Amino acid sequence: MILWIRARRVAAVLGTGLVLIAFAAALFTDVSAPLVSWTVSHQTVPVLTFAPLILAATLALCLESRLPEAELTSIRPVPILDTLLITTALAGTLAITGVGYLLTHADEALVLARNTVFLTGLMLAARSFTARGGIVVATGWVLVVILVGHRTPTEFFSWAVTGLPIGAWHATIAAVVAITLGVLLTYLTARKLP
Amino acid sequence: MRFRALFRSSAALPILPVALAAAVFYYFVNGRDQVLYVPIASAPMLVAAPVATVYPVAYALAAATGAWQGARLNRDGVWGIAPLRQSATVIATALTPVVAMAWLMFLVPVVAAFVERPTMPTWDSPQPLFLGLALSASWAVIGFTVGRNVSPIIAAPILACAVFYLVSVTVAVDPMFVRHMSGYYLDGPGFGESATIDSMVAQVLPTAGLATAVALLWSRLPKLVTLVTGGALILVSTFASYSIVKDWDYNPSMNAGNVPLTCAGERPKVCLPVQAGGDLDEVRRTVHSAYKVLTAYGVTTTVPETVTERSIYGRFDPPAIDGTRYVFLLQGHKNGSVVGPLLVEEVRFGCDADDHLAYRVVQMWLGEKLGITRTFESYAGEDPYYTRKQHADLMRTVATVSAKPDPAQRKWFQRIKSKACEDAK
Repeated sequence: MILWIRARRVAAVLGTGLVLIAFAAALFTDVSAPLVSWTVSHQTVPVLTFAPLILAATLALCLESRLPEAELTSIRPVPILDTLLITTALAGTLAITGVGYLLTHADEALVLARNTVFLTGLMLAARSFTARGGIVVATGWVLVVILVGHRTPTEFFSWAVTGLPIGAWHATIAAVVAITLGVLLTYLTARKLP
Repeated sequence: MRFRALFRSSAALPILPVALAAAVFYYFVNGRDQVLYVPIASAPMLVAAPVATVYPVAYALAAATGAWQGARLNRDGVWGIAPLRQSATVIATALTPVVAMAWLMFLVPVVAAFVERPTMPTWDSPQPLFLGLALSASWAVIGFTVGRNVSPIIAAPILACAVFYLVSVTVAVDPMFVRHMSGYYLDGPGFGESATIDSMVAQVLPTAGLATAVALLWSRLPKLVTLVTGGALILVSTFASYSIVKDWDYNPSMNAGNVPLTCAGERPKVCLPVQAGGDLDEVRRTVHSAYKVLTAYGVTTTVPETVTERSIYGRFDPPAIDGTRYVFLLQGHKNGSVVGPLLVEEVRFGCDADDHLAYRVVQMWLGEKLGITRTFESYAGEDPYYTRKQHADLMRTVATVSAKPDPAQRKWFQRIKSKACEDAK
């Protein structure tokens, strides 16, 4: 277990990721930027839209740091441990955003939590098909939502689930489906990836 | 490396269909509107307008994919094998597909624009395209170098988001010089304008300087020399760019008014760009009949010598010359009649009157005589406080006035004009 934690570089990589998410949530809750959109003009995008990628990327890097020979021997239950790692990372984020919500009662904290769950799930699911490309899919999703997700300067199309307010239930359901699929696929392919 | 193998082994390959789809999609939802909007297409505008909001996306894509490619060369142990080729050659080869993909984002909309509005390219037109192509390559180089040193799982998302974010916001932040230095050429040339070389150099220098400084890190020069030269390069290029643009407002500098005209008629002589020569006769006849009516009712006292197309001066005010009237003739002609824009220029109360209803009723009164009737909706589109009741009242006034004999109408105009001027005092 200790060897596995070391191999995954959990403390250095995932720890940094969680600290950065906490910083982002504390500093950028009310900040938005006028980024390019192709479907509308004069819109602004909350800077926290990008923050879930911090967790997705650091988690992807952890899962990528492997000792293939040691892991293939089946002595350690790697699929279970990896699932545990994902759960810990998400629990950490949910705790951070939960504390943020309790302190500020800002919906942005809940949106950040939901988006992190969704994008991490998307990254994990894509990762089991394209290995390192998983994080590219998650990044691409964020940029696509910014570029073409706006229906009006303040509203998003309903497919752009990471742009929707916390009251949009189908976005929460999408996040739950994404993370379930992601964890399941990671469990199944934990030993197969290069 | 053979062409096919080069692309099939590249990190750009899986992104290529996405980039191509994005370019086509972008053209149809965004770039195309600009291309179809203008009455006459001009080559500089057909290059700049369809790529106006592509820059941040293409740069982000080039940087992130460049980083991925850098990491791939590390992973494949390219730097460990015996050096048969210069490392610069290896890197240039590896980045070719990445840069080609970013270039597609620019070339697809521009080619589509020229296909839709066939126009002869001119020497002063392709610079904004070259800007995008040059800086895509620069960002690919920067990304590649980051990817050689940082895991692409971290580097690619950070570069994609950071480049997209930083380049995007430059056109919205307050120190105006930033937008002229970032390589994001948003307010490009319209009809009659073309980008100045100054503005292009200023846009290219900072990023290109950074890319060159970063490229120095690959050389085998001593560390200290690399750092000093690189730092100096970044400073000099940024400062050179800043000194070009430091006094500009949100407009980049433009060459304007260099459009050959063709004229016809006397008092007023009517001038249109040569490309629109076919419409000249019709426009001239409308303008002449309009001035007959305007002088008959005392709206215009002196007929100008020349009536010239205004849009050739682009966003800038045309030079003030006595006896020359600048009117958006082409836009008016495209929308049905040049009478509308002509009335906008000619109906002047000669004081600081701000009575919109008086101004509008005069326009309607003259418009009816010249055969243009505007609907309530077309006025309401310009003025959100305009009501149907006001419109009905104005229509009734126009009908009453127009039924009167000509001298009474002339008097009515003088009265409404002096009343508007009195009220403004």
